[in-house]
Amino acid sequence: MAFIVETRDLVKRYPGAAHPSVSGITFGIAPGEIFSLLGPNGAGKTTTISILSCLLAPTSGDALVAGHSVKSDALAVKRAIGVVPQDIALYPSLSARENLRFWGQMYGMSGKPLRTRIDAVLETVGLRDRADERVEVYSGGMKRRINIAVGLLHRPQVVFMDEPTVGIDPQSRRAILDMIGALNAEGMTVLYTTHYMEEAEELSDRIGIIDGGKLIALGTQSELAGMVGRDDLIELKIDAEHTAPPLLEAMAAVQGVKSVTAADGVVRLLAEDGQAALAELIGVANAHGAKVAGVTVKEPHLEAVFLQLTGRALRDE
Amino acid sequence: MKKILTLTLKELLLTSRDRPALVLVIIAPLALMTVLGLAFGRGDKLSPVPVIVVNQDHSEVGRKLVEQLQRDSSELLVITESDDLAAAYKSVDDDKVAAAVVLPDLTSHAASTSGDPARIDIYCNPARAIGAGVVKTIFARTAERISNTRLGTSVTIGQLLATGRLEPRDVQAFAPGLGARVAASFGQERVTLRERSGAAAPADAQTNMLGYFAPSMAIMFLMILMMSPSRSILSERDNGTLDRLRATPTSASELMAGKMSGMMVTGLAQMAVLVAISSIVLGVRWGNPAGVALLIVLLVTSIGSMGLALSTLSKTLSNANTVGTTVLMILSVVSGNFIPRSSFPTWMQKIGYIGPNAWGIEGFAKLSHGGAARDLVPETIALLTMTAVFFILSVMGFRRILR
Repeated sequence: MAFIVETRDLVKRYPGAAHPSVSGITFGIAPGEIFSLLGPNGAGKTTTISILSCLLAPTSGDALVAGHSVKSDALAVKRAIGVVPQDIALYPSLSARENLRFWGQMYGMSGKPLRTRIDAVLETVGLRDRADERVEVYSGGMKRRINIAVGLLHRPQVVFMDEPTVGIDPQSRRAILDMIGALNAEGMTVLYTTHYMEEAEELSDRIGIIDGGKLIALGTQSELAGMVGRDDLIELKIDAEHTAPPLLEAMAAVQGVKSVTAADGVVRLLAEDGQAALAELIGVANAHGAKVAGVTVKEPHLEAVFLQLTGRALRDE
Repeated sequence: MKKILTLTLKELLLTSRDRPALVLVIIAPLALMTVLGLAFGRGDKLSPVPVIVVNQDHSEVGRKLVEQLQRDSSELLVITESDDLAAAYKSVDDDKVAAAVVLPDLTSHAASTSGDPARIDIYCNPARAIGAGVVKTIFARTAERISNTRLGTSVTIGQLLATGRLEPRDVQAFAPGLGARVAASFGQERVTLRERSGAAAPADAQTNMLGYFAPSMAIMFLMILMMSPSRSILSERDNGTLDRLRATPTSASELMAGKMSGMMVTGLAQMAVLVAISSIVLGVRWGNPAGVALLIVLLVTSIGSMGLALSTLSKTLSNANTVGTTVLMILSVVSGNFIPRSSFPTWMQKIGYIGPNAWGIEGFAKLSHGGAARDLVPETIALLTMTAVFFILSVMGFRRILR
């Protein structure tokens, strides 16, 4: 398969750091695909995107974007990509239109084509009617949308989106996810990083799970779910003061339970048959004086995959 | 080039949108110029500069020349004549006068066929740099006029010799008479020149405290603008726009050139506005336009480079702010932005030369006292040197940030 983005044993080690931030990551993204890198904070997602954007040089390995090496042909790579950084990178005292004009010019656009394209991306992000207001008066969600619009302005072959929905309200998040879906439907390739499983599940054609700088799993959602077999994810809501090691050890000893973690008053367990193990688990909790305030049993999904592969829940991070 | 222009225009646009910054860099210096000028009195002249003239030309030419200087420069100079060269130099060394000027025997020079130039020696007092600058400017003009007169005398004698109407043995006897006639015409020529150059313009307007504080405040607020961390590369880094710029197909040298050019153009615009408004509204006389333009460009490039070096070599925005404010305050004090350096002890006056401010203040003093761009050679050399040093430091710092 011809990939538009391809990383080859990518390593990034910062001077003085005990461990590499990115350690031997290899994956490929096909044209027109939405590929998500899913992992907790500090997993190496932003470092990977920074290398692909030519902002960081890899310690070893290489990456190709649209056939150009990030190590030897950075300018060609930069022409092919659009970047949506995690933090809003705009000039607040300029209007949305002025920001877009400036960034378009930095991509070599000018004149009528630029003006037309600015109107088009403003339409895409739903801010055409407020385009002449200064960005500093925008809400967080509106700023995020303009932040994304800048990355789309020059019709890049592939867009790198680094956690574009962090810290915004559900309505704006919904609008952004819908927008990414629509862009992909038009053929745009997207590399999307997130630590929200729901977003990765909703958007992605394929998902790479990254943790501790390593790509620990890669595939479609169903392929990844297959990695945990038929295991169910059980979540028990228990007072945090009762989630002590003796209770967790007792739960781990219940037949069919494969792993147990606890965080923020929620005990998460992987079990072969969730329904069958549930009654015994509640009994164990009661025996340890812990009151179960809520129970959820989920079919195999990404969180279960992450739990199985790392022994930790993604939300623990 | 197009991207450098885009980055430059972006800097201008951002500055124009920053109202507090506009108040700081335009309104505040104008207000301070006015307040300080009025506080010391607009008509309150700087003291005329004391100077000793050792006149070695005892002919009519020499006498008329000194008389002319005393008459024309009475607002600016207090001229004392002396025959004792050593005593004159000692007066300078003892900080009693700003300079000692040795006028050569011009009449003998005019009659001589040696071709050696007549030379006016000025022995300057470094402790009274501005006063010495005024003396240098006035005598530079005088020397120029004498050269013209001397050339005329030499040509006349040469032609008389060539046509046989004057014998070589008669030159010494003939020269004083010719010198007297030249001296007579010299006086007329002086008047003519003075009117043409505007030297007869009210000297008080050029020597009052407003005339001192206008350039002084303009330079200080130029420094505030150029060293403002809000426009620095560190600010771009912290706001995330630097990485976004680096992700565009733009080279590092284009980014740096655009950033520098943006700062320089903003600084030039600020100085142009300050000079224009202070001239029109406050009546400040800045002097020769070409000289003022040259000095502004030199100041903007040197101070801009300094600001860029400080910001790129600082680790954080907060560090840059602290270091910048400290440097600004120290340079403003030792360079005489608030109090003329002539009031300082000698050692402290010399310290002022470490930054661009003192050179700028002295340059503007020269210009406001009738000097031209060609009189700014020391200032040009000093400010260009500073620009080069700070530019190299900026490039090093910029590379560090990009890494």
